[in-house]
Amino acid sequence: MEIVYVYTKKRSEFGRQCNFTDRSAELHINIMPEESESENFIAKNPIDIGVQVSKEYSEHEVNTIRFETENRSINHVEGGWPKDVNPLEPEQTIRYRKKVEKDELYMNTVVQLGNVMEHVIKQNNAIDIYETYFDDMTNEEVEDLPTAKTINVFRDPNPVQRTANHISWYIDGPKKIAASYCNLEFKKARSDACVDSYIWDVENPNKPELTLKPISPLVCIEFNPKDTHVLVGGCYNGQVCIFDTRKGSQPVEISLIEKSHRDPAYKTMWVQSKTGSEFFSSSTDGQVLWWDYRKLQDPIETLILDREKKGDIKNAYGAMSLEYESTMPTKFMVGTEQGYIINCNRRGKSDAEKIAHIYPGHYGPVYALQRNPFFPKNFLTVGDWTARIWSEEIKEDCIMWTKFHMSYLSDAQWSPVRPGVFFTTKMDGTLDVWDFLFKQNDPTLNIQVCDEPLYCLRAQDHGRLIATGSQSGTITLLELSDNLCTMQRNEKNLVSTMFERETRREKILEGRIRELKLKEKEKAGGIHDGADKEKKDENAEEASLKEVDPIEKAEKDFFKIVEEEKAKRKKKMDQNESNTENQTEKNEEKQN
Amino acid sequence: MSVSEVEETIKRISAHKGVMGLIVVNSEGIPIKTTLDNSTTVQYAGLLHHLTSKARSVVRDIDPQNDLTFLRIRSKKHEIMVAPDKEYLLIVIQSSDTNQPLH
Amino acid sequence: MEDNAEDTTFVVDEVSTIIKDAIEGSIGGNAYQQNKVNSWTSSVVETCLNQLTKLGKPFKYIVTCVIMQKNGAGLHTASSCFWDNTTDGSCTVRWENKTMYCIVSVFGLSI
Repeated sequence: MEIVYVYTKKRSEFGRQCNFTDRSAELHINIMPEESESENFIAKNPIDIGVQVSKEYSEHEVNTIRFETENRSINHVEGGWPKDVNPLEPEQTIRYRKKVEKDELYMNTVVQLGNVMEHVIKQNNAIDIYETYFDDMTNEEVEDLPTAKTINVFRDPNPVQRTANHISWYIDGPKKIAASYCNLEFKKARSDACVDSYIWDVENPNKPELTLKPISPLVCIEFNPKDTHVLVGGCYNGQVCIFDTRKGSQPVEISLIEKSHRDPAYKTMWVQSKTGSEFFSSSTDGQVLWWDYRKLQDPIETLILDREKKGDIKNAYGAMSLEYESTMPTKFMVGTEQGYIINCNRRGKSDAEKIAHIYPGHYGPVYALQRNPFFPKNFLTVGDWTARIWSEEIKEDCIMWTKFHMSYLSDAQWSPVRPGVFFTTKMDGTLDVWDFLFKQNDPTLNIQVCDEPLYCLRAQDHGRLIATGSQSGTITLLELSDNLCTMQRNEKNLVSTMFERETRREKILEGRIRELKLKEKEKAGGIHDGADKEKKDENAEEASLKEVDPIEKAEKDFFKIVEEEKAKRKKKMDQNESNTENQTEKNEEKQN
Repeated sequence: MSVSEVEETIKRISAHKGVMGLIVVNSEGIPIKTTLDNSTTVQYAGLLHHLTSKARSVVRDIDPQNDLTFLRIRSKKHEIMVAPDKEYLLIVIQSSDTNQPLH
Repeated sequence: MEDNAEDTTFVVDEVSTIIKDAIEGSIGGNAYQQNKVNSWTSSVVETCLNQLTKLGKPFKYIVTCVIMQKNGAGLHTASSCFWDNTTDGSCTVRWENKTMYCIVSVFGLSI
């Protein structure tokens, strides 16, 4: 079968007719070689080209998800006993054992194994194949470099970041730390922010052991040295509150808001007392208040840090830091927002008597203040960019200080075990360990704890562990190497001499300054005497000097010198030219 | 074989220098005979019974014709030696450094 | 049915202004830089082609670009075509500055 389909299409539907013709070759471009242009180029042989014969690498970072663990426990009991034997009944177990011991197989096995065992024991005793040679040869000259390592990191579980402001160690051993969290940045405190602070178990960074729920965020927290369950906290709103870890998260006692501080209660400290229930608190409102937590309705005592000693709160210095040494129960010190350090005596009858002396201090708030635990006469302060060591005797200036750092210092503490060592934290996230006996220009150890500012630090009483708190509320627990937390030979004496020496030096300087001042005074008194004219001339000169702006004068002098120099050079040049001219003339003459 | 002979063997082993303790454990992990206090004994018996059976299965897994004959555990403070058998384990703790306490 | 002749023929003047604009826009006053040449050539041909297609004429286009550093060497190019002489056409523009030559050829082939 044949299928035929006739398909018809008009020529016009096929589109345009192809009508291709050849276009002859066409020269498009004809640029002739140009010699002159090649002259602009220089042939170079050989050519130096750097080639890198190494694999190309790229850097990637991945942060794995934090794995949270939790501890659970299970009580195992002895098992494996036959059904009819109760492992808790000694009689039954003894009877069972006796029975086994009479078993022929048992006896055979024990004797047989005993022989094998005896052989091995004898081997061991014959020669100690594990003996370490030269064990007693320890090279003592190589002293380990001081180091520190991070043991644990405790992150604020709260999503809204807050600063860890203050840390307190548990009194009985390095088991727990209490930390207060509060956002102290001006106008940054959010109303929806969490007010919780935490007590952490040092071993468990996953979950706080106890959450403290004050009414207002805590700016400081302190364990009671006598009763480890009790803590005192200072609130952002100025109240002070007492927590009892046995009674849960809520504060057990809160001071009345109208009797409390008017600014954040920046520091609280327990005071040596029979009951162990007394503490005092300070705030930037210029008040220091004493309390007894059994009756928090009223402060026991009030001190206003008035600079004129009149008890006027308008003239009061704001207190940033406190110092209290239990061996000197009547004395205490306050570091102020204005940079002064106030030495106080609680025994004083009036406010004026209580404020014993005001030391000049720092250019900014005194963030930390602590007496040396071995030499309480000397104290350490931190403010602006330096840490300073003072002697109580020297009233006008500190005896030792660190250089000015690039970033602010935020906290400092003496090592509890080494008299010459202290720690400082800085806003660049570093912790410095200073061994002042060894080195005073630079810290002995500088540790970058984190990338954000560190705000507080607290060393454990054994001096080995240091907890630091950062801006975002991360508490880092560091362990120092042995040489930083064991007293060196003769260290106490050496530190004592160092402090004494520096005190003496400062005393001499003080005396000298006083002498100079006295002389000046005498001079000032002597103007009216004989050498009047001379003095007048001097004065006139001085006056003229004063009238001219020193910068202007310096500029004038400078340009004067420049001009003189220029003129000199020109003269020289002219001379040279004339000389050469003369010479050429002479030469020409000769040739002629 | 008599009971006294067994006693004799145990005494002899314990008398060797550095031997701090001897325990005989049955196949269930129950200590039958010991020269140590109860809690230590139970701990050693329970843990070493497990370890020995694990060690034995390792040896056998590698080569089914092979078997564990002895297990020595060298530690910083002492050496734990285990002589295994079908039914019983003989465990001896010997201090690597004399005059070391057990813990 | 025949359209306006302007719409279906290759107008050399029109194309040559397009090419010149493309070169000026891409290379402009730049001096010869070896590592930039690749991007210049591709930029020139792409802008040319873009502008040509915007004309909306029934043409297939072929655009080539040659950039040569002025170091004294000569350059000679030629082409030959077998096409419909009445509609198709080509245009070559030679452009130069102090440091280089840029030669762009466009072939327009009527559909």
